[in-house]
Amino acid sequence: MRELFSMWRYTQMITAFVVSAGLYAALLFVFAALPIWIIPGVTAVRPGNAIPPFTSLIFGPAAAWGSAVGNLIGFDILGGALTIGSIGGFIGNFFLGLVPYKIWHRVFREEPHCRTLSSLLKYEFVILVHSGVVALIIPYWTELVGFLPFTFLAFIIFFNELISAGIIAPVLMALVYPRAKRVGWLWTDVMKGYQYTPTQVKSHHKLGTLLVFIAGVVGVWVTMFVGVGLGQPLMQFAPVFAGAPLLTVGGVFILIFAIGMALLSKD
Amino acid sequence: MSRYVLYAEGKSFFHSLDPRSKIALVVCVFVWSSVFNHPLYTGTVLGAVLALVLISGVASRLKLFWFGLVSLATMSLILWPLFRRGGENVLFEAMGIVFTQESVMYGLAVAFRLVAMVLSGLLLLTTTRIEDLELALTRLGMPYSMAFGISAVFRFIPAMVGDGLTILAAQRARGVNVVSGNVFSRMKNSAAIIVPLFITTMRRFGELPLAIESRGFVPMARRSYLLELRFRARDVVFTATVLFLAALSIYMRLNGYGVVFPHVI
Repeated sequence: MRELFSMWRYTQMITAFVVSAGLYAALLFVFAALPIWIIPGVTAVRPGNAIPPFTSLIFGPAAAWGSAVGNLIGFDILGGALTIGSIGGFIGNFFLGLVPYKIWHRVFREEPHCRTLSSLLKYEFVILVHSGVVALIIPYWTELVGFLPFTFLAFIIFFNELISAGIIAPVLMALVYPRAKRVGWLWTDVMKGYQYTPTQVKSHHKLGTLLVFIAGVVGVWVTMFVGVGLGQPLMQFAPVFAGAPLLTVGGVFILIFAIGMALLSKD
Repeated sequence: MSRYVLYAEGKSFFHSLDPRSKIALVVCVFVWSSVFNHPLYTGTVLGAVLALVLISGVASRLKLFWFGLVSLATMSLILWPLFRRGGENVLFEAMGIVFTQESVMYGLAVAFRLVAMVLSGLLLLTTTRIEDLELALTRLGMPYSMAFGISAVFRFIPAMVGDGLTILAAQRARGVNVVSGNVFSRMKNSAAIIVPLFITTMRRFGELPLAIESRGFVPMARRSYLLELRFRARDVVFTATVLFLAALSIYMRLNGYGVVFPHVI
């Protein structure tokens, strides 16, 4: 995870950050003329959501910061949605840009060109995981600080992210990745010493990916079910729809996610 | 251009404050409105922020946001009574769900809280130039290269949006339909906008590293600044006051004031 901080020493990575954040923010504006609101001021079906998993695999750590700042500027600040929920939005969008490249450069030897079925399926797997992670983190924060209920928001974010990114991002990768590789835009072309794809897949990286998958995909649904009252008597909780039971269960999955990311970060 | 630049020139008291004082106010509004969940208290916070907006003369600058703010408040009023159950004073029951006076009051309190937070952030941005904000962020400890990147995003957004809208118009003239159809076809067709925008952006920014390095940009070097920020006596008084009020609000909450539901934020 050192690359997240050392990238600020490279002018080209700072430019990549500006492109990632600017593109994300600009697309929120371009498609704002054709909005499909789900919760006004909170979330809408956004084609721009395909940008983080796409820029993540091109620009690596610059895209993690770029997604976080791009959402903060394009949606929260210029879109008039800056609240305490924006802190969760910043963190969630940071992982939106971090998880795809981190998983790929640790466990997949194939390039993410999406021009073969196996490359496409791997990319869709990464998108599924990153959708789950963001659908766990942002609503958990909004529930914690009394901004919006977890269950409602998690359901919307999960499908919004999955649909937008799942359809558009593979098309973008298939069209742009070969060109980006040819002209040296990939983050490992700038930050020497990092491998874009692993020569050897280590077992703790596989375990880390599995834990991130469990936290993001399984965890978000389990927490949503708890949020509508399912299974609470088993856990000796009073039947409430928000608050302690949900935060406890969601907290366990966030801990699992943190352990998974720590394993993925370990060389 | 004006859509992407919120700053409005002005000579109000709030305009003249150091950006760090304004950031302190935003943080304190977040604290004040988060520690209480009674509508009377969060409503007072909202009233104070609205007064600052009016005194600063930036209300007309925010007209684009009023619809979103009302929608946000309405959603909170609808959603929280559904999910934040509890309370003893039953108002009515619908489809097996009991709505209590407490849960409705909680929804109203959160609605006030959200609008107060959004308005405080907008107040900061409408009364502060981006370059002043960038300098304030570096003074508050943010690495220069990160602050530079953030201000560069603000500066380049108008160009990127302009490119995006040109590409959108050109692709629609070629028959690409991103306006109608189901969600899936709209998503698929929007790739026809995103790919050329990305390529255009990369062409535009391909030479940016060379351009800024040739002007002396070294990412981690110590820097001097043309602009200066001065934290004057009025900033000290203003910041001390808002921080005191934030501490007072936490003390009040700990002593049971301003709550509908005592065990949640």
